[in-house]
Amino acid sequence: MKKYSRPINTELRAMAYLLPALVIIGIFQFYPIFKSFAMGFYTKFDYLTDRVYETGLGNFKYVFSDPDFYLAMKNTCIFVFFAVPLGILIALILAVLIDRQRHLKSFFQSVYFLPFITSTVSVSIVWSWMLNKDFGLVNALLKLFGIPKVAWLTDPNMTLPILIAFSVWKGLGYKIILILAALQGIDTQYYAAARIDGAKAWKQFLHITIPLLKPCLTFLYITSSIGAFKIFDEVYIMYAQQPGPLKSGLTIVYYIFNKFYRHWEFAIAAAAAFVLFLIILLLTVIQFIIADKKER
Amino acid sequence: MKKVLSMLLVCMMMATLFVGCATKADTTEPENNATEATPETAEPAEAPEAAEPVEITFWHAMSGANEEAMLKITDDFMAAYPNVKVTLVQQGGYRDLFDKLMAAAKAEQLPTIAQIYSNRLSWYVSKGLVEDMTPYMQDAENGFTAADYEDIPKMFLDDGIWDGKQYAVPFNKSQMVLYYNVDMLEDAGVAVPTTWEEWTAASAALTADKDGDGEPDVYGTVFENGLSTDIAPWFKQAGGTTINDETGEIMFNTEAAKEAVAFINTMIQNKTARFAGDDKSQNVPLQQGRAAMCVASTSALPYIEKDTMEGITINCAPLPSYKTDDQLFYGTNVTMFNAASEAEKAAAWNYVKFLTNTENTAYFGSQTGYIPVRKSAQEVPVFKAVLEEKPMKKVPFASMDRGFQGARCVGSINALDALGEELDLVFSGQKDIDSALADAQTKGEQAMEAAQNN
Repeated sequence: MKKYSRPINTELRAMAYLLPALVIIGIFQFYPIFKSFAMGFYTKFDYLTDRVYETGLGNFKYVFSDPDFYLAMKNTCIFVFFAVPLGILIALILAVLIDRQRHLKSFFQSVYFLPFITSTVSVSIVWSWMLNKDFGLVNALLKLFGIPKVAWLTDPNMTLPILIAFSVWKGLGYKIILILAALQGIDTQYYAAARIDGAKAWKQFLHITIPLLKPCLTFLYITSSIGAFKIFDEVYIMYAQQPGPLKSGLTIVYYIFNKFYRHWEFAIAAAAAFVLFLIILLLTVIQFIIADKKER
Repeated sequence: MKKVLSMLLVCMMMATLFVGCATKADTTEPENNATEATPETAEPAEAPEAAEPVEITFWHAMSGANEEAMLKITDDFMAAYPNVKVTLVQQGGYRDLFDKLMAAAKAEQLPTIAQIYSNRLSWYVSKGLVEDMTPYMQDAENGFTAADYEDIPKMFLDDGIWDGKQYAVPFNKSQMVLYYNVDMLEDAGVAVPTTWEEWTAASAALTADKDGDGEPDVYGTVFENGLSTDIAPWFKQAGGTTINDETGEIMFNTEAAKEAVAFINTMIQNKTARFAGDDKSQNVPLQQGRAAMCVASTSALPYIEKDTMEGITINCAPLPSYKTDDQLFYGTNVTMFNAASEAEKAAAWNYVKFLTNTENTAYFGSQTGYIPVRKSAQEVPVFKAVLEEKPMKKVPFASMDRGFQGARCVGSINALDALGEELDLVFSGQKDIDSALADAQTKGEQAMEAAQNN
């Protein structure tokens, strides 16, 4: 008897350790997810009392026939498509450059890390000042080179490029720190061996650094993609609580926010949120499968 | 030993968890109990004599000078009613306030009273969450007298009435006016426009492109960004309306609407008018000499007084008229939610009445850009002095007889947003007026219908 009591005891103990976290995650993460998924199917209900009179696929139909939802999808996908690879590429280049520094390493690390730890809201406000058409720093600099004023914040064509630049710049510090740590984990003997074989710096980078950084880069790619799909704060603040000029900055989360808070179309917002959840889930699964295959 | 220690730790963690739950339950329960228990004990509408301490919360969105004036009035109230504690909660801007109210409604944590626009309040009224203040107003001892009803402009009171019941009392009201740079108009020999025709001409005459780069350095007129919810005065002046508030009928695709949009669009396309854009507020370019006129609320007055550059004098006039001379008034009311206890409601009524009485509304009007909600405030010395010193303050009183307030039925915001999106396309030159208004009509009707499902 005594033989069996031990594993049960440890299991119980493990459960006890996990319980607090599970309770909190369960209440604040899983319950709302299921609840909002269910709400997506309410076609007629009382928001306040939660009394549901009618359920159906109406909200999903509405979302999938709403041109605004497709516009939001398009904007978000363009943003993710450019912002994520660009952010990782630039972070990788900078990390390699910083890694070679001897004296100013920690200085550069902090410089790039600063935007990451500053709140998105305050940084967005600073950016909106810098991009002001008449008094902004950016246009003042352009003027020095004789370039005419650009209406950064009121020209719809400028919205996505600005958001991409903002996201790349803001995320640099975090990515650089992670890549730097991974770089330091690479055994210098690989490089020594490569040098003996006569490999140039570029070849070393391509055939030693990149493959050995792959787990780190995959991790960054997945987490940044998920983060990028959820872009909202910067749009909301930089464009004064509007989704950019002529809806050029309408993203999926903005769409959900607008439906929920501005228009009080709760069930439609829930349906759209669930669609976003599915997109991110699908993307993550695909990325894991690809990463898994390559490793094998 | 280790085992015992770790088990102990786990137990402690669990305990804190449950304690967390327990304290939460503790804080919510007394309120619920209070709501259920007090009706028998409280004396209705006669809180001043009631010795029992009462606490009421007031959620608002006033900041700066507006908030300070409110604080002063509230302190005065608490001095006069020592048993009542009024907790003012500044919830950020209007949008933040409305977001939080909505979340609070769901969580059954609504404050006793709150500042709110009628186009938002209509939803709460339809959900039965709002207290009908009519019985308090009609109370022989503590209510309104016939003189009170006379004193408060009818359009302000009407804005808080649904089905003959007063669900909100006017608090901070303002008027949409035309601000102008006095010297610029004088130098150009242009009179303050009083009709659409004069306005178009004045705007053209005052626009100046000094460096000849095709982009005016001084615009004739600047409008607010996202004009949709405030487009009503031009629709009205052209003989139409945006939404029939009684029936919820959307009137975007009418001849009057076309005329109104064409009027503004012509100025925009001719580059004699623009939207605030990067300036965010339309009064900013006016204050800095980059615009000759702007359309803004009288509530912007303190900012204009504070931030106008030296050497610039600003005055204001009612909006120029066309077929009619309708003038838009807006601003919030104070509403009372019905989840409060009878004692709280009685105290809240006393507070609302105090906040909007002649003396206090005069004080509030003198410290802020808002219009006193009582005509008698004009005779109160503190406001009388302001009227003499600042002629701009007289404009709303002179326009009140032609005043109206915007649509407020459930879904009106969503419908007007649909209109706004189409108008943005017109003003940016991407769509013609006829098809934009036809689309706005269809989308507006859909949006209204969807909103009324909730």
